[in-house]
Amino acid sequence: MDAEMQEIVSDFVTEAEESLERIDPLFVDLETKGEDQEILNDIFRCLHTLKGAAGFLGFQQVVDVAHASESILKKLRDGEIGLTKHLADVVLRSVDTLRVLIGHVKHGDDGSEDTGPLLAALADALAQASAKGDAADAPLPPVPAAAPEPPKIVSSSPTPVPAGPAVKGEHLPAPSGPEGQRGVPDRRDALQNLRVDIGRIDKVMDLTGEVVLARNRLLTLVNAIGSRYGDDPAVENLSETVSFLDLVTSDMQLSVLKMRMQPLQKVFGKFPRVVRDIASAMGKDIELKISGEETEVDRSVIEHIGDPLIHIIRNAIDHGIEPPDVRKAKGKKERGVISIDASQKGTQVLIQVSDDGRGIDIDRVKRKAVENGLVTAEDAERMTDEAAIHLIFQPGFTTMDVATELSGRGVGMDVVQTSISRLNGYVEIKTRKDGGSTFRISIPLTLAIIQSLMVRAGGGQYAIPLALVEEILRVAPKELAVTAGQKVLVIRDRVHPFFELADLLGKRSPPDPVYRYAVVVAVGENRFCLGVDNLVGEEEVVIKPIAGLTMESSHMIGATITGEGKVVLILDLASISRNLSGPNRT
Amino acid sequence: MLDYKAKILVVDDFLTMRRIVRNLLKQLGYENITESEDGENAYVKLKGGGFGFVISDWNMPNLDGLGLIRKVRSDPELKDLPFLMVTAEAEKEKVIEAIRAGVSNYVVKPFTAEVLKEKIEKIFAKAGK
Repeated sequence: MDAEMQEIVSDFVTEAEESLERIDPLFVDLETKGEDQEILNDIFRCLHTLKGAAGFLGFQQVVDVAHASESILKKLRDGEIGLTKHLADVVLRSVDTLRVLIGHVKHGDDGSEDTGPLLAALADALAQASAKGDAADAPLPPVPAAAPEPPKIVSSSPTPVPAGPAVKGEHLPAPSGPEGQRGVPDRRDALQNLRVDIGRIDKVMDLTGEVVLARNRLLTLVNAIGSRYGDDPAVENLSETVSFLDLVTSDMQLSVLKMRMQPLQKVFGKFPRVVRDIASAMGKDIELKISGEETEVDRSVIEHIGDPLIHIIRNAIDHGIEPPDVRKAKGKKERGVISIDASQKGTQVLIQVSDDGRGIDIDRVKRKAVENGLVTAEDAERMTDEAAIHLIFQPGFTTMDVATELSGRGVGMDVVQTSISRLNGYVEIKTRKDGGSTFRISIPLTLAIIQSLMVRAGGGQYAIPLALVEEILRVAPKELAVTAGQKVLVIRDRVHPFFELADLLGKRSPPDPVYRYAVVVAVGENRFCLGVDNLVGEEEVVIKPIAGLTMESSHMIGATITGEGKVVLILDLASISRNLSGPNRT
Repeated sequence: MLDYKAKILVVDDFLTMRRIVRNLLKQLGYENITESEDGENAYVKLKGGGFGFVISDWNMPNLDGLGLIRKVRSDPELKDLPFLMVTAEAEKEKVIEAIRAGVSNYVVKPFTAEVLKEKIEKIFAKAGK
């Protein structure tokens, strides 16, 4: 029974988190659309069911908070009181507290919170609202429920189906099919979802990785055997079987990856609330537009992309969008717009956050970077605009003389950079004075398996993520030029800095051979060449993290095992690129 | 008394709640339990036949518990089906509404296995008369 209870509690946590997550966007909807019975009832139900289950499981604090806010929702729903900003704030606060309380349950830490002030605030808000209701100016009658609008699937409000995310994306038109079927099909779909513990999926994922590695080895071995005993019919059969296995393994890998994919809605759903809160704290008027939230990405991306995005949004509100009066004076609409868009481009996911604010003042960035001691005045002078914008990602960079409460104290944008490169992605910024800024984030769809280019340098073999490789050239040493102490390679009239991979990795580069290879890499706007001794080939590799290795300084994202059974390190091009373009490089 | 092999339908939109109720029923010795996540779905399952008992939550999307009991009672095939309604607080007005609609009994959340047993016994004692 104990294990059973534990499972129930863990289910409860998952469901409670999902319910709470739905409330934020619903509330924002409510504030923009006015009091909609449907929405109010939906919020009420979230709190109500949460309370019910928590009661069974003995989570008294959850029961108390949910009960108090549920009472408010009930009165709102029944039209007894009207929605005020104060009521919304206090209910949202209780949602936050519920989240914390559920967190305690999740981690089994028996922690409790001082919910006294919150409960008092809730009771107070309810009393105030009710008192107003009794007064002469009764609240407006709620939107009558009797006028059902066409089924609205608004991007920012997930459909109220408490099933897995798979159902959420179904924007299919309702089947106008068989007469008496009373809307059953949808429900059946919902029931075909299966909740699986993420640990189990990760295990399958892990094992699939191992199968992929074994497959790679097998392919290499079959090639070797084939070239030796090519005419043996048994060998022919073997190689046929192995190529079948090859195909199936690739399909299996894809299927497992898909199991871990979730729509970005899971992250984007939080933004309306975030924008609302920050904008109202900063006295700015902001409209948030979200699109492409149905784009699916790996679970690990979902887990780690939220914070950097929120940071960017926060910055856009704080530094980007001007206060309404300033905007008006500039001839802009008083209400600023932040748009977030996601899309899939090949094996990458592109997320763009744009604002129509004042844009980033590049000269100011340069000046501040010099003041903060990040670059020398001469370096700043020489820097291109693109390079200068990226200074905001330097640790310790801040343009604010007095750090505002929201954007932190100069800790900030460098965290964005680090979190995104941890996902093997990169950020680019486009900005125009008074036209606003756009942050473009590019992240691979999956973190676990990548196509790689195997190279040899400084006596070792390394894997380079192929997605970032532009081209490979064979170069003789004499083709390399040197400007300002930096080796460069001119490709089609464009100058590319050239670095010996062996040098970057702290290995001794071998004496100059007659020919070597230059791997041209593009990380965002930054293009450069890596000099390698030899090319080994292309291989699909499974990234295995290396315990105890600080990834940033090592320039590695992990290791893999090749078809030949060798352990090979995988280069972190984003980190290499950062270090190369860093202002401190000599 | 309700046969331990009887097919029981547990209706609730919250998975955790369904599991809790299922767990309580198991403690009482019932094994043959089916779940539904709202009234619509429950009604379809009940129409499939073979159910001896229903435990339903009140507040659910699509068709709520009250809607379900009304539908069940007006269906000639299901009109005598024992039906236990789960309510959140003892809200008098609501309970009366449920009883008028024809629920066999009601139980207030949260409840223990003993309470559930008592309710089931009451329902079947009445039905046996």
